[in-house]
Amino acid sequence: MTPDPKTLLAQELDDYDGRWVAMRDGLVVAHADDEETLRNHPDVRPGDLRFPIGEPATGFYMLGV
Amino acid sequence: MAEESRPEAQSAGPFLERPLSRRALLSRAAGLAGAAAGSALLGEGGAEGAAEPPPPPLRFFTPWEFAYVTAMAETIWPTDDLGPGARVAGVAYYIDGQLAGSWGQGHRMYLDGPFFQPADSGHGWQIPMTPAEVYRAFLPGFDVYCKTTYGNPFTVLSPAQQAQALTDLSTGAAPIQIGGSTAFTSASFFSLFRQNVIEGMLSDPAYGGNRDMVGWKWVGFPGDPMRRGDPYEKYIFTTKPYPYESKPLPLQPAAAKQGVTSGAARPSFHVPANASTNTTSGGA
Amino acid sequence: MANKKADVVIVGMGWVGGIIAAELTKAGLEVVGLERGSARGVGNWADDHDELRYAIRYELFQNVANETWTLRHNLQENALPIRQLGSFLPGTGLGGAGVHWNGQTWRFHPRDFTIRTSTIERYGASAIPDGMSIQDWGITYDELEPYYDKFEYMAGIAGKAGNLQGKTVPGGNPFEGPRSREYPVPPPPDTEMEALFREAATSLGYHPFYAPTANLPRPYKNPDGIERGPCTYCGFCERFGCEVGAKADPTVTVIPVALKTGRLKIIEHANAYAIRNDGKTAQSVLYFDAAGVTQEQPADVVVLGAYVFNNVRLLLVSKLGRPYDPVANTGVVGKNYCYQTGGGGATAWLSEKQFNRYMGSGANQVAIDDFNADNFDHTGLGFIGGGSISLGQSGARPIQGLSVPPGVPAFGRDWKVAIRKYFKSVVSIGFQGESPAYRYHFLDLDPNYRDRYGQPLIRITFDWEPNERAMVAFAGQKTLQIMQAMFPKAAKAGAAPYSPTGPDLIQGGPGSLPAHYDTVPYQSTHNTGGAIMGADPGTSVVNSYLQMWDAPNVFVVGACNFPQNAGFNPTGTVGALAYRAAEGILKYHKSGGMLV
Repeated sequence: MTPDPKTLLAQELDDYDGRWVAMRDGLVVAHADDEETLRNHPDVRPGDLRFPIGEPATGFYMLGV
Repeated sequence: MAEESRPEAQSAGPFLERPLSRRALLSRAAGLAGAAAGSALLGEGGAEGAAEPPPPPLRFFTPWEFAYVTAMAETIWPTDDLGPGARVAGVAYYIDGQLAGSWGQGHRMYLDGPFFQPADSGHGWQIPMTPAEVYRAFLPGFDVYCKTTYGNPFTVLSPAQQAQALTDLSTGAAPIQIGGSTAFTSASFFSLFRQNVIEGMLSDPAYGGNRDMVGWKWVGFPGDPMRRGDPYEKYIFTTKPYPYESKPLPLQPAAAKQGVTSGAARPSFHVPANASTNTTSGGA
Repeated sequence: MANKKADVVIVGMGWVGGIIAAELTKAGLEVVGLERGSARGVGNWADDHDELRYAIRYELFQNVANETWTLRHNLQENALPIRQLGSFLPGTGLGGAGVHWNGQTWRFHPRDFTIRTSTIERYGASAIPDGMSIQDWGITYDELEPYYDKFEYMAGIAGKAGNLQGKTVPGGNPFEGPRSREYPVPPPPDTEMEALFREAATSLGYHPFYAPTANLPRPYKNPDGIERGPCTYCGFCERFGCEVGAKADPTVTVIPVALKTGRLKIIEHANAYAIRNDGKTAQSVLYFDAAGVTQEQPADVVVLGAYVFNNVRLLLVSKLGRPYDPVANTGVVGKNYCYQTGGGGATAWLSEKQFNRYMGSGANQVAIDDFNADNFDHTGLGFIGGGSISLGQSGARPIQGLSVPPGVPAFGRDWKVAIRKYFKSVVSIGFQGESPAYRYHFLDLDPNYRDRYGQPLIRITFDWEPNERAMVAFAGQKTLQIMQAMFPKAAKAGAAPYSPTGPDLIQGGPGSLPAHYDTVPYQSTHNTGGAIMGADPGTSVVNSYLQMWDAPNVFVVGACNFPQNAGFNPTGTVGALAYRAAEGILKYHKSGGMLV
């Protein structure tokens, strides 16, 4: 399924805070706790992008450069 | 720990404190309550200089709020056998000054509406409140949480319970609402508060905290290097230890500075007499 | 009644305004500079080593209570105001952000200027994902080189060349574009932690070099005759003004030169809000003066040097140029907004070793360029672009500089012990990556929120995309590798419960970006695009002299011209473009017409 171009880059990633995801054509196709589990996930194909999603900032003031 | 330590006032929270009695007013006027409260608030650890200046008046916090913030700050950065912490350093005075001042009053915040709760992450502060208003609204809710969960106000909980109560804030386990809304979570308040405590321990003493530079001395920060003529260039490319690391100096008071041109209100731009205005470029 | 007409009016007296004012006044033109903030100079910084005031309470930065921006991540969302400074810290006042920047000064790579052509040539058109709108700049590195040189000699940039006239020379960056001559000032020595980084990177086969800095390591006199003294490594650099003038700053370098000619008039507290124009020619700039009263400054030429957001806002409010519509994919003003991709760094906490960490200067760093741009083969990696990797020692101040390893509690006695233990024992390696352009990332006028004068705010539509996420994941592996080579006995932070008597610890590995671009934590003040340059008026706002295709007497200059952002700090390129624009304005003022 080809996503609507307007939503192509709007996949909601808040659902995957702190997890690894695999994306293809702008959509999440698999997610896992860590890199290795994701790599071995059955829905992941070579060529899919795999990366971690960071945790959100916990407050309004961030220390540290 | 409160300026007027009445048990019923402690447990009742800020709204049910009784107005000051005539006797209480008279004893303030005699200066007795102030002096006793001052030393109680600042604790034992600060007696390095001979004449300690009296504590400043509060500019924002009520005594109840001040006591709460002092106790919470002490849980973050405790005064213990290792060294002075938030209470001794004056962190609650620091936060008091900040909340009364331009940051706390939201002078650098865009607080025009309309306001919406964000649909996703990454939008930051989206409530129509200033930091000062947040503190004032949040602390009574936290007081209710402590009494409900641990049986007492934070100020009289055991250290272990105090640590747990703050942990509950930091994880969002403490469901404290501001004005009935969950838009500003307890985790948000905790990160704001923790940052203010760190500022109060490590900002220049001119702001009311880091008294006698106890925070700088603890971490090993030498303060303002300009006070010693900016000597770091002699050390940074070597492995020579900096001899004044444990002897920090704060920002210099203006009156003490020499060489200040009197009446110089505007900066003058440095235009050397031999500045050329031709456009050819040459080598260095 | 309007002010007396000037030859040129410049909106904004930062690096762009300062450089252009200096060049034009030296050539005899009468220039008026409109600056929304106050005049200031080195006298303001005599006592400014106050971390709370400048670094935390943001004294020198724009006050968003007066004017801010709204942000949405995509077209579906309502944009919400950025209600406090965080992610980026735009300047204001004379000198703009040139007063309080770090001083990191780079040239972009030759490939950066032809990124679309080069990427397709090497990897094929399918390497550019759907929706990514990267494009060539309409100027080559070789064409811009003389202007880079001019900026570097004016500012006294210190560094070591890696490519002189096409020949790689040792000691510098072997991946850089050819320089016509050496830097004006040689670099300082490495600090101890920089030396460790250099050694580790070399052992891994990478090519470390001292990163170019605008913090003078020795006294310098520039071609305009401005003499400045050297940096004292006080550690109060970024977010602070430099009291010794060692940090290159428009108020110390170019603005005095312009003022000395007697042909620059600066009007402070002048808030420009529109350009009076007939669609093809600008007549004047309208501004609110210090009393909030509308004033008008007519000129033959209008120059916008007011930073990316206000340059674009002025064009949109004035209905000058064709506004960009991402859905129809038409128009140009507001198109290709980009940022800087950060993440994928590594941190080490050392159990015994200490460094003089609170000493430093803003641009004091050693870098490698091996994983930037197209300097490495991207085949099979799933992303294009890269970034610079560096270890810097800019001076750790106590409030911002506390750092403890994972596993240390967030507060209490154990945290108190850890912040003291590690204050001089934290080492960080950072990654600063490219930010590609996307069709749906752009700037336009917000329909709901206004500034204190009632003018609409700029609305930013921006988020992180899979390309950047894959890039940052990759970068984290590289920074970790270098850190492990620096401290081979270190254990992985967080793998075992934290112990204060434990070994050195390293945190790193595949880097991540948060689910959405977050306006809260500081990341970078490298906002770019919206008034991009190019060879084709159909897809760009300005030509290679930064002259508007649609209005020949309007020049729009700054990082707003970047069609996408590269893996380096922008100021060197902004300075080069400012010198290029100055040349164009002089040509235009003499002979008129389109310069390209």
